[in-house]
Amino acid sequence: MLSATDKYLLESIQQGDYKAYELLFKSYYSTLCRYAMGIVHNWETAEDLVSDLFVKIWEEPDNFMVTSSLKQYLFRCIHNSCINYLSRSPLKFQDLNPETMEKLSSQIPMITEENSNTYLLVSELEEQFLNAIKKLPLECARIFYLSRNQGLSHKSIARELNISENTVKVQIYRALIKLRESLQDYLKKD
Amino acid sequence: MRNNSSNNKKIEILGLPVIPNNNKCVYKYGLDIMRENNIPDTLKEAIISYFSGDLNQQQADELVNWLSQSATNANYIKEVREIWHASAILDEGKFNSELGLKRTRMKIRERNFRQVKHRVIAIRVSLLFKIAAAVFIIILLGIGTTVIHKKQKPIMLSDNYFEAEAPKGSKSLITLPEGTKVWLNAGTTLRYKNSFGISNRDVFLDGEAFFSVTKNNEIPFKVNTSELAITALGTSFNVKSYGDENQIETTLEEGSLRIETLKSNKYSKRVGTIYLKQNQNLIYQKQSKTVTVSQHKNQENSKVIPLSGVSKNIPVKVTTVTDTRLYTSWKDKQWVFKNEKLSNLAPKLERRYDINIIFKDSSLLSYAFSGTLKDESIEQVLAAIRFTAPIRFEVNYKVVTLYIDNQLEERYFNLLKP
Repeated sequence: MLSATDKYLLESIQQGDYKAYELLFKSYYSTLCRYAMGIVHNWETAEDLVSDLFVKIWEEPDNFMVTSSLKQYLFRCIHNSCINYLSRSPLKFQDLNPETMEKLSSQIPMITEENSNTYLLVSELEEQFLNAIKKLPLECARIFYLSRNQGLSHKSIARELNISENTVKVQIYRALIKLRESLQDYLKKD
Repeated sequence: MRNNSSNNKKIEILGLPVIPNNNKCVYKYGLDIMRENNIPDTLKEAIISYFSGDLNQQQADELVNWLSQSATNANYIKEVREIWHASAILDEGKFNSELGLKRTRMKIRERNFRQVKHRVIAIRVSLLFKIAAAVFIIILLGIGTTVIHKKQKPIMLSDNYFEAEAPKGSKSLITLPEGTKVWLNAGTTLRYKNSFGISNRDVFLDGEAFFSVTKNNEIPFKVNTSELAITALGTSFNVKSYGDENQIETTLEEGSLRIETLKSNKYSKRVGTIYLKQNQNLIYQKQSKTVTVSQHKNQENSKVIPLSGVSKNIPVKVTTVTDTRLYTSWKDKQWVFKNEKLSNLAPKLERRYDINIIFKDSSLLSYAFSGTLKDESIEQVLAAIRFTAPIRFEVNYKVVTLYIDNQLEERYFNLLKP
């Protein structure tokens, strides 16, 4: 069921209410960008895809058939645009030679609708995440939080905490593993 | 200690002083998954670099090598990636939604520009179809009689007009068949014949448009308005000729222009020509049929270039103007106006925002404003106006009513007192 606020928001946007659109945009833009970033690994592309999604929301609001949670719906949309994007233009890393890139993409399977369903649980996940972060070792939690929640770059975290950039990455990695462990139930596929 | 911190709120955990760089984590469950998996730190770095998009060649090689060792490794990465994705929902920073919104609005606008373009193309396609059909008919007729065929062909071609329109509240950018770019201001229509670009480059304008003309020395580019014909001898210029305004105005940014007054009827002899030079602006009053030419003040020789080819029967007044941007900036994202009376500004705002402005007090008409507008909403514009004039406004759907704000007027008045 669509919540009353989501319903109101959507209906207002369908009637061309810019204020409602702005509210929707500001509530979800950066979260969606972050999510897209996780898939396309390039923040410009991520922002571009999310922005395209919002163009569609404004231009063709009637095409948005939201039945359950608006948040889930948006995540599903951006997930699909990312997948579409990757099928059109495979991942590219600036500093890599194309040969390595090709190997890498064949080795790491692309995310598809089937092998990633995290967005389905998004609404419960946020709370669980914060709880799980609290259980992390202190430094680990701090670095992870600065990186994933505050959006700081590895470089600036390293500078701020007076550690190497590589340590930052290792700590983030550790956090991911620990979080994976404590969030297992929420990420399980049905 | 662990329990204590886990009861704290996230910000308090993170508010604690930074732990010195000992690189060690204490694990509650005593199980170090990384060690269990025997993954070296460099690989962990590589994995996180891969997720965040700054993987270098060395890391990539290591990653490729490791992944090729076993299928579980690839699965392992997939699982870690999943949690990386999911953690995106935590984000609060990095992506700036204000900027994102601006960019998105720009995209929406560009898309609307494109749509107008598509419309023009659509008309052309349908015309091609008509020509094809006509040719087909002609071929059919040609079998029977050759006389009809010769007659029909020009009729088919000469009566077709293309029309591009920017409705009120929106602006359009169109590209004409020969490459000339035209920015149409709100509430403007531009028509041209299908012979455009072949035997002529005549366009018919009602409204305001900025032209960036493709060079072609053989076929002059001519803008026809209700009373003036403006021929481009250079490249870019602005023409404003709305049917409901009593003047026609043109501003030249580059090159030169020839302006001719059109015969108002068969018997009128008032036909005259004026050549406009770079950074000059011309205003033609429809009623009195008089012309004022203004010139950019910052030009090297601030003396006004003598106008050439002016027919004696057009009264011309010459003044100076500081900035041609005042006339052409509407086409850009920013819009510059200077010391413009509200009586003048209101019709522009009406077109720009597709609204109607009602003045409840005529004394408001004489307030003058200067400023630069970018993406502001009409509310923001009015709020800005309120800073300098005692105006109260009500916005009701597309009707904006302006009242004089007596209290505010009094306050402004008091400020002026010694």
